[in-house]
Amino acid sequence: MANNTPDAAEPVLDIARHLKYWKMCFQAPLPHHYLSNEGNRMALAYFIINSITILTPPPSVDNNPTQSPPLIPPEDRPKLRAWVLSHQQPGGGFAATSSLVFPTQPGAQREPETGGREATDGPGLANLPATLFALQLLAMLADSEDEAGAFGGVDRVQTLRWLRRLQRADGSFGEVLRRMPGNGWFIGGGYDMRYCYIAASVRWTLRGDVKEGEKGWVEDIDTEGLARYILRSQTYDGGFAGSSQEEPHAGYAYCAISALSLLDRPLTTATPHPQTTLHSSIRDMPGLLHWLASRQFVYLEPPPTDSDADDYEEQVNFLLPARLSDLALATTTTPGPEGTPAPLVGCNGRANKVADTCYTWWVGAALSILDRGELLDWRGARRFLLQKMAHRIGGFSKHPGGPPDVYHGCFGLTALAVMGEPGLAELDSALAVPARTVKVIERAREALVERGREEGKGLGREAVEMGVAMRGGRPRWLDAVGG
Amino acid sequence: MAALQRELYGGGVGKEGRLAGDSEWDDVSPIVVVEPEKALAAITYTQDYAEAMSYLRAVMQAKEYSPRCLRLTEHIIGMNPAHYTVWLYRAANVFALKLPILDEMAWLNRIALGNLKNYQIWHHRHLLVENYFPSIASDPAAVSAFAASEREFLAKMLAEDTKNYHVWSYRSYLVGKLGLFSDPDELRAIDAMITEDVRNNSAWSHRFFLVFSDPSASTPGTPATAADPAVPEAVVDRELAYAREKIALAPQNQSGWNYLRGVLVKGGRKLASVEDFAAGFVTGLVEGAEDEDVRSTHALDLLAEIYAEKGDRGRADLSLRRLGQKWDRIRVGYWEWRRKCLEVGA
Repeated sequence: MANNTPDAAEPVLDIARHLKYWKMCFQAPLPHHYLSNEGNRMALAYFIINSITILTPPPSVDNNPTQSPPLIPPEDRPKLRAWVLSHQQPGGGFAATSSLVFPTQPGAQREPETGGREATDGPGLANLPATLFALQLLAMLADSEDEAGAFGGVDRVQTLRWLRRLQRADGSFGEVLRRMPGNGWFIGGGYDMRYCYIAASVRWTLRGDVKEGEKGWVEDIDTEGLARYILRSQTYDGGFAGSSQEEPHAGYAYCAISALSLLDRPLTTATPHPQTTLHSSIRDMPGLLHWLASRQFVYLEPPPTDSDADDYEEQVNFLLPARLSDLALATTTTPGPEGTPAPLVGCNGRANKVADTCYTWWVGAALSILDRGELLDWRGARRFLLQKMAHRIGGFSKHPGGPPDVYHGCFGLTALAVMGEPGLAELDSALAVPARTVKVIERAREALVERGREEGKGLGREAVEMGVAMRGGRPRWLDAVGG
Repeated sequence: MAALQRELYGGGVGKEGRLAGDSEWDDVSPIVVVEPEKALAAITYTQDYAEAMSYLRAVMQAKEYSPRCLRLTEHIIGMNPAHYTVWLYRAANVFALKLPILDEMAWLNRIALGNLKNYQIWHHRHLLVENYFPSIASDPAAVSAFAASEREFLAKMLAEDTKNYHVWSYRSYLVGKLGLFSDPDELRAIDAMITEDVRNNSAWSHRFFLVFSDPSASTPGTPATAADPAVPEAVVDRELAYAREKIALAPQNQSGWNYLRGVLVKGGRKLASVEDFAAGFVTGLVEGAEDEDVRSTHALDLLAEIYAEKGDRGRADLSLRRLGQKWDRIRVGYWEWRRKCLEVGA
């Protein structure tokens, strides 16, 4: 990626300040205005732990000689993993929030091997995004001496079976499975490219190389149907939308590109990945690159008004100079002539919309997966994030001058990490976690698959039930797998 | 009737918002969330919210569907309208109690106007329409009346937030469900929005969908980026003229140019068929002179493609070079990549 050590004129990422912000989010309850995200608590947990992991690369691989004790104490990791595991549902997958984790009921039935469906009829509240976040959290919270044990207690088979049932006939995925009185089974969650991406990611994370007939084999999702659905969602201007009949959106474009790249991704990073599906199947690749490159624009300071950050969305689009040639003053490599400041480059998610921190990530990561990072003005983008979006208490805001939040705080960091920011962990663009977390996932998946081959389903089930029963305590299965 | 309505809508729960001590809820043992010693992302919330959620957990686990459960969901949605599980449980109650869908829609309309950014209201609405539509599908007058009332509601929502993605997604869903492609009111409504703000890309996208996915004038299943011979020439001509007219109002508006190019591809026309139009926004582009004037970088971008299409690599390269050097410098990486593509394509 376009990793250049920033020169003296460029702003600096204050890692200590960001860590301070995340320490607060990690140690204290989040304030009341996060209530609207109460239903997606696992996502908030992912934003927090992912950010801390990105901000604290191992000292050996980076110039980050902090001697202070780790923000996440090693002795807390098993307890935090037990909390994550307590969200696992008997029918597969993880619940999105603790408020939907019910105390274990005596005699609760799991979905039998062949097709019974009663287990998810009750409060079986597994949610697709929460399932991916939970798995990634388990990997990020692995014990350093036992990374292969990170998925101990994960019911791989049930989760992959449940994943299949979230796929609709048109190839797309929903996020939850519910029985509606008088209406049968319902795949909830709208037609949304995010679920397609997350399904591809969960599949890559858990499926492994189990062959048909072996223990632990689960029939695959309809990968061709999924790819077809995604490819059909390319719009007339080259972008990707939530479905083929909507407006293209950078977040969905990222999801489409990442999902296609994950569908034929080898099981380990050690194996080269030619990205055949991605490069051979997108109908209008020049159009897609044009659309992605068009998401960046020079951010011009709005004239001072007494409006607050809430009005930012309502401002008329983005600002244009009176004459186009005035933009020529903005040069990307050095500050402009006669003290003109170097340009700030923001990204929007849709044409004629305002800049937002997270779109620098969605656009930058999408281009990075396509191996076309040079199409984005990284220096200008970096400058914009650090000068306009980084908050004085740490974290990043959605819009210039706004308060930081965990979502934009996380994606501000992933955006910088994908640019190769010194001091941050190397990031995997398609999985949106550090590359070293991906290595943990690979090892943990292999161990899980091996255990399944050796022991059938027994251990997994036992471990889940213990994990649920022990909520908060140290689950006994951790001892059993050497954790 | 009014009493029945209050039992379902707006009647509230508990005494002064508290459920404990209200005889209606005496038979329910709330299931309180116990946070373990170590947990992530706990959220500070009020006693009222915690209490309501503990009752919700109890009735959900008991699979109870009743008027009081419907009111409990209204109570919680009032405090946290973004909790998708509460909405799904509400929908389950509506279906289990066989409540009239239009009553639920009327209630939803009131909630929606106060929660513009909320996705759940649209998911719920989608689910309601899926269940309501079969009951009117064979009655064109009923479909038409329903379409009109929905359009009126959408107009109110879009007046508050003209580019709200959820509203537009729902609108495109509704067009497909109710078959509104050829409905002149729908095209008129979208035209009015583009007239109001020519940079409203959501409206442009909806127009493209409306015009080029009309099953009576297109080949179903054709990708948006592919030519479709089933689209009548007159429609292509009309849309090209529309785009040109709007571009003239705002030459540096990417929405209009994207639409123009999209229509050309859809109609199977050569990009060069708009060369004169695009060239009208660029004057004095001469190799070595560097004193051209450009009123639209999008025009110059399209001209570069047109020159390449015609095999004039020199002018294509000059256009791309000038974009990167002067007119659109932050995208220099992109313009340089396009120049490389010219070499490969040659």
